Amino acid sequence: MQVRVHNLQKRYGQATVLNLPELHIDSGVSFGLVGNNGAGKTTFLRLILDLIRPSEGHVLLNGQDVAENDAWKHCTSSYLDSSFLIDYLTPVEYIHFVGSLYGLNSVQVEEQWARYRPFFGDQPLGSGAYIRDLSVGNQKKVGIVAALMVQPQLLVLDEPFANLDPTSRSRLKNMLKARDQSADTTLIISSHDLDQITEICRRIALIEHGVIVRDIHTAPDTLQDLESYFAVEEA
Amino acid sequence: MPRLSLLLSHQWKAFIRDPAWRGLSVAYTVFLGLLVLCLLFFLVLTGAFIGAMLTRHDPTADVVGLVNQHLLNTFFFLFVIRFLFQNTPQIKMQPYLHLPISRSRLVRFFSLAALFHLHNLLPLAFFMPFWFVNLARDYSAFAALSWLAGIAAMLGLSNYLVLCVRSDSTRRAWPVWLVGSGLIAVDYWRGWGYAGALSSAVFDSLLAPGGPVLALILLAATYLLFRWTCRLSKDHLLDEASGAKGPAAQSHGLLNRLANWGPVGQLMVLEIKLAIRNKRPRQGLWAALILLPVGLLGFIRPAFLGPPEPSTSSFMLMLWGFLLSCGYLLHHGPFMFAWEGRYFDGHLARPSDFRHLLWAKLLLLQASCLAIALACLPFLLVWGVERLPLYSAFLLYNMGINSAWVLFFAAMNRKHLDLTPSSLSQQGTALHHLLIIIPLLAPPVLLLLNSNLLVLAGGGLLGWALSPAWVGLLAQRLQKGKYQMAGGFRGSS
Repeated sequence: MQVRVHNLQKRYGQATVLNLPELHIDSGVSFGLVGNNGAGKTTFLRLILDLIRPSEGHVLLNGQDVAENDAWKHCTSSYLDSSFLIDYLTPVEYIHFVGSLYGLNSVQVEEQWARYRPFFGDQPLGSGAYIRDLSVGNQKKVGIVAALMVQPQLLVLDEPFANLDPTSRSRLKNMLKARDQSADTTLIISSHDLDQITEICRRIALIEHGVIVRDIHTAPDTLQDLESYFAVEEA
Repeated sequence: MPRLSLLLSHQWKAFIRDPAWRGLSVAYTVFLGLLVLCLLFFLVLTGAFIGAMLTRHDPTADVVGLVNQHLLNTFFFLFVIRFLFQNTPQIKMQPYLHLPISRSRLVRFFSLAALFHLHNLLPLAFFMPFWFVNLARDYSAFAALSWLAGIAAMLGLSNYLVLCVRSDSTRRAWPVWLVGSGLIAVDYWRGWGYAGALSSAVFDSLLAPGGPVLALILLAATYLLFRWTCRLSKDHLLDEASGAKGPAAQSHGLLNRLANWGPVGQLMVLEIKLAIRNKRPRQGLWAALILLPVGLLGFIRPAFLGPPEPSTSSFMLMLWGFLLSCGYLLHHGPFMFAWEGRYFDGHLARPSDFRHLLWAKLLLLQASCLAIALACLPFLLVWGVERLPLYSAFLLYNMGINSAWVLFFAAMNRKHLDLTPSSLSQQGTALHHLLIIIPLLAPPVLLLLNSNLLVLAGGGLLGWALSPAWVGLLAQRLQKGKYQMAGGFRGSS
């Protein structure tokens, strides 16, 4: 799915928290967002998903303004934070619920669940525990799996590696890389983990004070570049 | 150790920076402000002039004695209102628990701060003018002050009793509360007057020579209850910290079948699971079920409760008819969407149609009216068959029109409700959730007073037939207001 941003601005009072005059993400591209806290990454992701109203401008998915109609939702999935989880459902109930919204039948959901089950390691998720009773990391995995299993054309994830254990990080990285190579899915993720994001994304935007200050096509020295950009020399 | 003034300033900031204000329009905020001012004005005037009003009809009336006679019932009524709507301090303590502040001190502060609440201040708006006009001049200083201290103690007792009743350890004593409430209700309906006699005995004694002693006893009781509340709150904080997990999920065959009804069925199942798996909505469900027999008694008025209502158009009869046939409308309906506040973003980001969401909620509200009606039907057939037409008319009206009205008001919610807060919390609820009963009740009562049951039932049927139109209109409204709703829920999360 193509993502096009035109003159996108988000202001709160006098403060402009995001200002993206033009941005174009081709179909199938894995696009990473890096930046310090408060740079505007999550605001951008929320604007893509039509969760907040832009002060100006548009986000177009396959040429359609996300604020105009909801058709794009059927081929877009996302996980930004725990507000996406319905925490009084069990993980299995939750993924069945999400699957049904995307037109998957029970058998297809079970197949997907079996496919992604190793992501949870040996956690006993079938014991009837509600999502609210899971650890923060496992809650996040439920949200990510629910977003991955519906085979979206656009996948949006906000800091997917945060709160995950090292094994799960590695598994998630492999899952996202495999998706990047095998499907025509556009992936937009934000992360503070420079190592992971440079491995996964073919294109990385560095965002600062709501503005994209660098737009990089990933190369072998990108990680080093980013590390030196964010490095702070102590006095 | 933080100074008291610091904690107080935090409370003030929490109030004026409450994200709920952000979601309200200026007009609505002004309306709410005016409503509170009107209420205050009305209470002050009533307190000041109730004596004049009573003596106008009967110049020999003992004003203080008459008021004293009804005080206990009044405090009981206020207790019920508090129980349903008073915010409790438990959730406010959470951000301080990890800080180096003594928990005892924290609990004492928040328990004391809970006294400065509208539920205590509004009654004083009546009692203070009443005291100045009727007691301060006509009684000795000791007697008048004892009476005032007694009123303050009753407000304090009522305040802390609510907190105790809500705590886990005393909730197991619910049969005691149920039997107590039942006895008071029967005393009221039957006209036995025991509650009135007890009320007179207590409050008249405050004005008698031994009054100061009784006032001191009541104040001491309030202090003891305050200490007990602090202890329960502190224990409960420890319970929360231990992270005890709830029971495991169970599958429900009926729900699985309902889920096969497509997206609307799925969303209905989601709403039902929300209601039965979370503490606060579950409390509403229990309240609806517990109040059912009370409503039936009030509506049918079987012979053992005394003489029947003189007229079928009496307001009380209509009120009972309305309450008894409104199912789950008042307990759950006004908080719809707010229950889902914490995952509303997820709803918006996924391909779920607002129409499906609204149909699911509307059908559930209508089905709850029908379910309660089926439960009441045998009793109505045996003991109150003459009440059946009135009940049916209200049932149709509640299903056809009030269900949609409730959804309309629910779509105005901008503050999320915690589904699993500590048991002492009423976070997210507000007075306007109570006031919703006015636009729900007034039209059918006015219709009945000016026409007949057929018009009410016909209006209900017409409203029910127009359900698709209501859903369409509400979906448009939700679509327009979704950013404000999501922003409000996010801000209050």
